Amino acid sequence: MDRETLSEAQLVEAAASGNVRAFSQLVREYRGRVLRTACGIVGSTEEAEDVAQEVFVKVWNNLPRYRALGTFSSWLYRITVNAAVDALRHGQNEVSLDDWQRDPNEPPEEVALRVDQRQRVRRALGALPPGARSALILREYEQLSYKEIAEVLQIPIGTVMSRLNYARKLLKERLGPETNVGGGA
Amino acid sequence: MRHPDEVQLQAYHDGELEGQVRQQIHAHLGQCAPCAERLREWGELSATLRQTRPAVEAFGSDGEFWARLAGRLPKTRPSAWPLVPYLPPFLLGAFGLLAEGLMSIAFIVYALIGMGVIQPLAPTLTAWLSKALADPLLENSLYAWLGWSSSDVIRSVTQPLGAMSLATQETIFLLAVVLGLGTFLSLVVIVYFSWAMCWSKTARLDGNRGK
Repeated sequence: MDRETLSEAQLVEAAASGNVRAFSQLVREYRGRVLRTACGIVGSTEEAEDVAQEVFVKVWNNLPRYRALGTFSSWLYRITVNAAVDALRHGQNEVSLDDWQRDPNEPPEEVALRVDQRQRVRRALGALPPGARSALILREYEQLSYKEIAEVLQIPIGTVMSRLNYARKLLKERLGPETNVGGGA
Repeated sequence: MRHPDEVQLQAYHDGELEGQVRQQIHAHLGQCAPCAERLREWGELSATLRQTRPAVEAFGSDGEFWARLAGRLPKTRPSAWPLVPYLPPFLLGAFGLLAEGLMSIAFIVYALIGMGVIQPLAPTLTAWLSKALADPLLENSLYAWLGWSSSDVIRSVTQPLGAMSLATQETIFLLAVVLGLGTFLSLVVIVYFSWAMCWSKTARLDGNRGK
């Protein structure tokens, strides 16, 4: 853990002082998390790519000022959530999720079922208000703790809990009892 | 224990509860089938969401992403202090205001002395001038270099002043203040415009563009 923290801190330090190679390593390290979070909020892989690009440009521009702003990952998630919510506000939210997970060996019927389920989940997620959606995505996709979510969204832990409760209740209502965990139960 | 509310149950499911509260809910769930069922439903919802989250493979490759990003990164980062470029004109304006204020005060004092509202300041200013001219720093540097003595300098300055009327003395002091401040401001303006046209970032960028 110490080694990871140290190496991340060193990378951040180097990237802040203009080292592009260090920045590219940071991008490689965090790209997946940024894309996944952005995709969870905006609901489209293409839009998530654009948001992620925007996020990393912002990170590059603001890295020299990052020091006093908490942990790097929280800062990055905050930029991601803000950029994704901004993209939503600009009306670029499209639910086109057929390509969320490409597995060439999957039988076509299972692909169809999976796509259908994903689309229903995505539509339900898309109907949530951005604040509740962001909290839920950070919790369920990124498995952040309540404290980390509070730090990212800059809200009290109590508000995180109420947003999660609201989002989950709404999602459960929209998905209905038969949705059943991707056929898991 | 009473039935836990939804928020508590979700916090329990998310592993966010500790100590006694966690133990109480854990014990309650062992005895209360409806609460255990609610917990199972929240677990199912979480599992659904996690199963349907996008995999990294759904996006383009690392290389493509970086290639696109590298092309978008600005050559120079925006300044960490965005107001710095406005500092020189701001300081220039501040100097101007200060000088203008000092000059106004000098004119008002001059007018009030002329109207007899306040006592003439010329004797006090002459005494300060004598004291300033007798400064050891001047004595050891400028006067020593020129071969003068401080008493000669003071005499040659204060004697002609003493021969004049108080009103003339006041006018001379006022002119000295105006000329001094005016010269200082002119120097500041010259330095500022030299910097703006030759050494500022904008001037350097313009120079590079011309090459």
